[in-house]
Amino acid sequence: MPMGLPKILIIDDQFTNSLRDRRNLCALFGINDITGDDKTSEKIKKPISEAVFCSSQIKSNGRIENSIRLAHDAVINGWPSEAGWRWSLILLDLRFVSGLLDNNNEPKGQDGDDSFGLLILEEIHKGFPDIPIIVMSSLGRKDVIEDCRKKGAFDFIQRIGFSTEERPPKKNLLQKIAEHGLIEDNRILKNEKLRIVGRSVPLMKSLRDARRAATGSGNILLLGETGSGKELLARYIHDLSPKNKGAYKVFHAFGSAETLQEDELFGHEKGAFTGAISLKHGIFESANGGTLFIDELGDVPEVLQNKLLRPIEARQVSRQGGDTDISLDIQLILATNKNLDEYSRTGKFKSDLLNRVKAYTITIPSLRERKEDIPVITSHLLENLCKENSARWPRKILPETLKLLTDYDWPDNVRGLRNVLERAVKNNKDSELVVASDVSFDVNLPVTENQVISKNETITIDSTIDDLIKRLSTFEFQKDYSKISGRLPDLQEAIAKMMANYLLSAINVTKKMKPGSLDGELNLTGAASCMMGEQLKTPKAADLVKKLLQQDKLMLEKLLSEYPELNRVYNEALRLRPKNKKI
Amino acid sequence: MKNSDWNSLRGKIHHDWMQRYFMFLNSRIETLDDIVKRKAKWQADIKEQFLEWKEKNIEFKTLIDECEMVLSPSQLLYEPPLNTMSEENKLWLGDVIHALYLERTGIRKTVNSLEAILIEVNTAFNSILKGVSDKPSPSKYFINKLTEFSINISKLPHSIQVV
Repeated sequence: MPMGLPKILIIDDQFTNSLRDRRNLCALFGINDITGDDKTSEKIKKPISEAVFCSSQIKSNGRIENSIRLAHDAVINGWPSEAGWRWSLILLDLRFVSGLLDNNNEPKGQDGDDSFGLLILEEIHKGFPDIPIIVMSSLGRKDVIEDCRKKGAFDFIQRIGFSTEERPPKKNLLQKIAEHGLIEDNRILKNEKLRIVGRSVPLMKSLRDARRAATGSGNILLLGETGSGKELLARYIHDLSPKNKGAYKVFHAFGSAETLQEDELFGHEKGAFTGAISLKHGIFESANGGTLFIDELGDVPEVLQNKLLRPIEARQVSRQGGDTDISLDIQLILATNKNLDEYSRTGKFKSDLLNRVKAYTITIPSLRERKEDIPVITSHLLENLCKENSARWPRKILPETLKLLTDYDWPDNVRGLRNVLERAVKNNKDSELVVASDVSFDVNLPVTENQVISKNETITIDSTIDDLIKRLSTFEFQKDYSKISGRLPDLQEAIAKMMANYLLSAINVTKKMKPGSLDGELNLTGAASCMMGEQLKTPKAADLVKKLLQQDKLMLEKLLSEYPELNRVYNEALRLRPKNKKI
Repeated sequence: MKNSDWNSLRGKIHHDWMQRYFMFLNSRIETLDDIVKRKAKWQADIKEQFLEWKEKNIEFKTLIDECEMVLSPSQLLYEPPLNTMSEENKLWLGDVIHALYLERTGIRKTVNSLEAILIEVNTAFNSILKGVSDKPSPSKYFINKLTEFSINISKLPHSIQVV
């Protein structure tokens, strides 16, 4: 999938108004000018970005005046643009020269407003806090640098003139874009399946955090729901780090026995235990010089958590049965979908291990937090799946299908979307279209922050009631006093309403129909028998309904007032078994 | 030349024009080197920008030539309140003040140094213009010389030196 160059908005009077200066700037920084007003703009060799220039000034009646509104409008035009891209960052000058124009239509005097740039900075940061703004400053502007930071500037870049910076201007700008810019995954990949697809702000912020973290050393913790792309992001970090020529190893801390996990992590010496017929290198050793990704950190058994402290902190391991310390030079990336702070509070996760792994934390947005990415992810996945399954490609996704996909909440994120699309492809290999009926959703469990999802568990459910039962019986409440306090009455009410609805549903499906009438006759015995799945006698049926509704007197009153039909049912139950008085 | 006029000229050629010229030069290093080393043809726009130095060189020469006098405190004798002195007193006192200023600031040494650097700058400029240079990168050499010149211009005081 071809990636476009990052788009930069340059707000500067000189480089917008003087085409000659603009061309020099573009040549110096490796920028393609896409403003559209320079008919002879030159093609840049190996550009690193594309830029639109805005002077934030209005020329009229022989004068040039500064205008914040123009800068504001320019920002809006790329946030997002009609084509769907967003500004990666803004380069902003501080000094804007205004006043009378000379014969060449250039500002005559030195009516330079040194602080106009600060006003623009404040305005843009207020309205668009997610857009990174880099101030183009001259050497002598140290007086305003502190002010710029306070008003939201991310960084500074030397404007023009001779450079005192060690890096050439083009490389310097490239570094600024990588460090601060909101850019898509533009790696050149042999395997497109590794690409992290999307251009939403939450995703690009995570990618930016990842680039910043990719120093090749230290510990990085990735947090995100199941299927949100933690492994892909780990690979992204590896590819962009100085360790990218080294090995990339993955360890899943789930599924196998503790002893097997320990052996996989640390390896063993020959003869270390029965069956250890030869030396085995653990995954820490295998990853030496590269990156080790440990997934599902929250599921690491306690005994192993102790053993992880040393490699994580001191970068040293020993093989099982050995006493030689092996020094490690690795980039360690750890991931979890659990709330480790909570786990640590309840003793499930060691706090000293937590302190060591939290050195740099990156959160990956869930798919429902970046729904605008669903169309482009769908297209990407569909293409890969069609090729994998030798199915017809290209194929068009109908708008209503895309709406279905976008409206769904995706509890298992991109992995869930992939599963849905894979079914659609496999069931319709030769189709040119993806229609709404091709798409069927698994009724998957919502992933709560403390929930453990077994990799081997089959989650596909046949009916809604089964799903409801599964959700209710496996739901884990948060172990946080503030989050569970005071919720019992709400829970009781919800459960009571659920039972009332179930009863009414059974009543509805078991009505005795009369000839010539649309309404059916209440069939309490039939309804109770339906709910139990066996034929009940009338007294037992009435007892069952009374028990269902009489759990709580106050709740019963509330239910009877909210569900008028329930009155009829309850009264019928009382009539059939008049032990308690009618309310 | 008055101090204020001198500073105005300095701002115009050093602060404004010089920064733009540096941007031009830095963005065309490869192009200019190709012109010298590989005898590539000049593009009209590039040549026009490159030649701006010729005119500015004259203005920088003026700046250097005038700086000893415009920064001399002897000028203050011709402004209020000291300008009420007799012409005779202004003359001998002016000479004394100027001599002290020369001694204490070493301004002539600074000026001579600037003139020498300017000669080197022009040599580097001409080597590119004529397409003859023994430097590995004639344009980078010119940029380095011009940078050195600019740094030294920056070191010049702005106001009259009351020493």
